[in-house]
Amino acid sequence: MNIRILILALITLPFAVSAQVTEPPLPLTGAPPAAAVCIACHSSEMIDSQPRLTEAQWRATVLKMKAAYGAPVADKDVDDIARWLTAHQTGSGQAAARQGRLP
Amino acid sequence: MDRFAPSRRHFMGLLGITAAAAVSGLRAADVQLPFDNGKRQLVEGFEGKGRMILQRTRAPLLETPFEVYDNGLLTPVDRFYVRWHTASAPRQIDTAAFRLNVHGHVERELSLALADLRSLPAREVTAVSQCAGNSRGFSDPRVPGAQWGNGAMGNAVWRGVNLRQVLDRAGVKAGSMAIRFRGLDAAPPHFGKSLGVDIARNDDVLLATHMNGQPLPWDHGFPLRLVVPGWFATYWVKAVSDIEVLTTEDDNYWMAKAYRIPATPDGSTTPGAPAGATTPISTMPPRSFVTNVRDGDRLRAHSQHAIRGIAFSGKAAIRRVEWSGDGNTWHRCQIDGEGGVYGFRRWHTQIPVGAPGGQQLLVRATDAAGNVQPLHAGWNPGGFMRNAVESLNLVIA
Repeated sequence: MNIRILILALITLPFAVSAQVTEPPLPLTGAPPAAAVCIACHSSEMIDSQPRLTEAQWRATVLKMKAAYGAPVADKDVDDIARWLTAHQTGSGQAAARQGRLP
Repeated sequence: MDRFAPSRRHFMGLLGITAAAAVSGLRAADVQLPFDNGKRQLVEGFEGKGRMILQRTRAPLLETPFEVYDNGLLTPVDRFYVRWHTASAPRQIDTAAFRLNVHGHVERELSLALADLRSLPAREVTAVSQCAGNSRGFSDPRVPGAQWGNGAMGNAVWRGVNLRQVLDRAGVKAGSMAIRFRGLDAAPPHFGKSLGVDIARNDDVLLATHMNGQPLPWDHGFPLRLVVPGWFATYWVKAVSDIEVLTTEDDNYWMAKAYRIPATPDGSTTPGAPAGATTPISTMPPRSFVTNVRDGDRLRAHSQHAIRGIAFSGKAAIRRVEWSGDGNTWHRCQIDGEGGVYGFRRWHTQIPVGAPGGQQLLVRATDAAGNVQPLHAGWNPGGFMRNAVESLNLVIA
């Protein structure tokens, strides 16, 4: 089975009914197709609840998911996903961290 | 080939997980944790819980709302924080078929049914379970990971059999270095944590079947959970099904790469400093919290105000709890008798409330080994082991 079909199934599945707790969707506008894999193993709050991270920190996170958790991310897609995650965080209006960021 | 090779079985597994994620729960309200991007949903009924802070739906991360800690020394099971790394633990277990396997550097390999364990004498220990990353959201500078407030901790009475009885049945051979515990959450990287043989043989380390008198629910590790009083909860392996006695250091991901702290006296380092030597996180340094007054609360000027809270340490019994208005002069609080060595201890005192304006309230705990909460938080890249003195800004009117 193709991983893309699997992910599509995950994204489009009705996760819950009516007023129950539902998995929030991950808005994939402008996302590289490979980014959809992020929510194969965890729901999107894990992305949206993070503090403002630098692209280098997001890249390290993607590489960790690939190396340690076996996420099927091709080497060529790592930078695209990290760039999109960084932009997604800015685009979702998250306030810039008042506290210092990691260098 | 990729380890995440999709297969029909995997697909069905994921469908099962997502179906389970629809377990009913009502969205109650939003809550703002006191750090940037700290808005979360409060939900009720999700995963069979009472009102909880929803950190992540799948795999579940649920935080205990802080007011729960003011209600009693024990954290109710349905308000107890939940932390899973992956969504791969089975929600239904065939209890008749379940086996706890003990193997590796032992005289006799064991394959124990739950009935075998029930035939051994059980005991109870009251102990705090605290996530290594509790309070990570307060890290400054911030670090990636589960962005917990202070509610990734809880105190329960754990009942089960002493692990040593099981180890002695198997006969740990001389030359053993570590004992590794694995659970049923087998998605890569297969969760496993190790303890030194001496730690694992401690009287108080349990293979627990119950918390607060109830059988462990699924999300707290049914049917068996390792309980390691004093140690961070990463070692409290849920749905533990495999014990392996090792003759070398454990090189599995969860010991060798994850849950490590700088090998400095207080586990902290300077943000941005080159990565130095690290060591696996282990026991919990002391913490204390005010539970009946919150940051920003209004108190009546020129009065006495009764405050109370909780304190605990995984390194030794709590010996002293003090409050301060300025971080320089400290005043003793009274510590109640109940709670035990490993559990929350209740403390209380009266503080004088001054003239209208602002007033600070700090509390700190010291344990019998002399460990004391630092006034300023240390920092490490994992956001682990926060235990700085808590400071509340009160409004006096």
